[in-house]
Amino acid sequence: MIDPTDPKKTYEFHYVLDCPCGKVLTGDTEDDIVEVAQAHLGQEHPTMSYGPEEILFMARRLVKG
Amino acid sequence: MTTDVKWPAWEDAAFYAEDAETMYPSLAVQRHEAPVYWYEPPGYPTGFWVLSRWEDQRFVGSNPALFSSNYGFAIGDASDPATVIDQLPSWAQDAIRQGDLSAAETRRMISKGKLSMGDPDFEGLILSDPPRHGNIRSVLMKALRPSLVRSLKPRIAEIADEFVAELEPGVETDFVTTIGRIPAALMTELIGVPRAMRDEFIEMASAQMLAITIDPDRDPAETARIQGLVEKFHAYCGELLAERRSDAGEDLVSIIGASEFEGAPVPHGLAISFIHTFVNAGETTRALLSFVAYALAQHPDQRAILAERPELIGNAIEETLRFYPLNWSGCRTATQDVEIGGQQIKKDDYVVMAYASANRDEDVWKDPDVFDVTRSFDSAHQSFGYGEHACPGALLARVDSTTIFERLMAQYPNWELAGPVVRWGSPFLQGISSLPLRFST
Repeated sequence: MIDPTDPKKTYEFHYVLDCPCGKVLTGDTEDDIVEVAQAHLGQEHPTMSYGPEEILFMARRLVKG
Repeated sequence: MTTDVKWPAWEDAAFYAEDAETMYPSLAVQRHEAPVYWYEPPGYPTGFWVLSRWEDQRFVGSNPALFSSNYGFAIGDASDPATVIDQLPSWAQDAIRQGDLSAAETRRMISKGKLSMGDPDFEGLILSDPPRHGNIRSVLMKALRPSLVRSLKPRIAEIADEFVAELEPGVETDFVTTIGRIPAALMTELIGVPRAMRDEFIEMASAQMLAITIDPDRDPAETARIQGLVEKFHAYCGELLAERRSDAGEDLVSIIGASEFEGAPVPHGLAISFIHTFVNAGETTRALLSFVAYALAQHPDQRAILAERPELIGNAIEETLRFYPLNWSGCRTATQDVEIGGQQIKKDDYVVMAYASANRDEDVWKDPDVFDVTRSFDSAHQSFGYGEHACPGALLARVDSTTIFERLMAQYPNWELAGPVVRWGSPFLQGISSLPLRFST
């Protein structure tokens, strides 16, 4: 059971981005996710190009497992 | 193991009116026993495949060359045309009555007709395939670009504060018609609708949402009411577009009016469809907000976590989307024979991705029937779709809902149900039409 008043309980967040090819990309910071996404695009989808703004548009900041 | 739980009646509005305690076990049984299932609804001219597993839906969503969006996007599009033809514009009725359309072309005509607001030149993003889909989407995303959406956060907070200030502690309030109106109010501002027109515009937009969720059992008087409002709405959007093309401002309609598509100004039918998308974003976000408030009323322990940890509100929005999706399903048409989960899907077969089922898929989600605002999301829910056709307004919906709940919970961290909740539902979309709540500090 989660105790919401537990001051020691912390949650880690990360950025999650679903590439339409099915690959789930994650990064701990905005810079990380941009780097991971651009590396994935370069390797798997070289004809596609997205800037940091578009990548961050698609990424979500969620609790990390 | 056998079970008495009935399998879903995917086409039947009555199934979607059931309690969650009835619907989700039904989805689970079919997901376990027949995850790729050929379903033949009573009264439909042909059956369709239902994909229940998250992984299978991801495969379909990420392969637009194998699964086309051209031939319908909702279960109702596969209805017997005779049962829905009166809800379509005359040009769509004429095309269907000629009788030479294939099953797939008939679905396209029904889906285009209901979306079109009567405009024969209407072209919707949702009914397009690559590469044209990408070209259309890039124009739309100029208007809904991330920098614009991010810049809206202070204004969303301002509007939220105005609405929250009108709440009275301890007094019964219908969330849907109070806080739930914020996204539509914001969208009318973004579109540039004059303040005096705001309420009428929202009423017309709501009617357009009903027109999309075509219903074989709809009362003729209700059909006539909806058609009247939709025609008025189409005329108003046309006037707005013409005005902004001649005298551009900074609103979304002006951005579309000034944009080019394939080297020429955006065609009228396409521009109208963009306005329609903006409007839908306001209405569907109202449904999302209502489900968040409802889920948190049902789970006060989870609401207490958010009160202590507002940084988890974004995660709670995501969990609500997974737990109570607005968009229950999306459809595609197979462009060639293909095997999924050991089943042979034939060219032109209609394929339904049951998003609500994938969101509870035990292969993806730990304790899927538990509402947990601290859930870790290493996978994505299906509630905004997936792949090329993922919801273009998803970012705005997330920013809207997160900001609104941050402002609401700062003032009123507690609320409880104050009366019966009235849901509305169709095979395509779900929402709440009345959510009586009592707020306290």
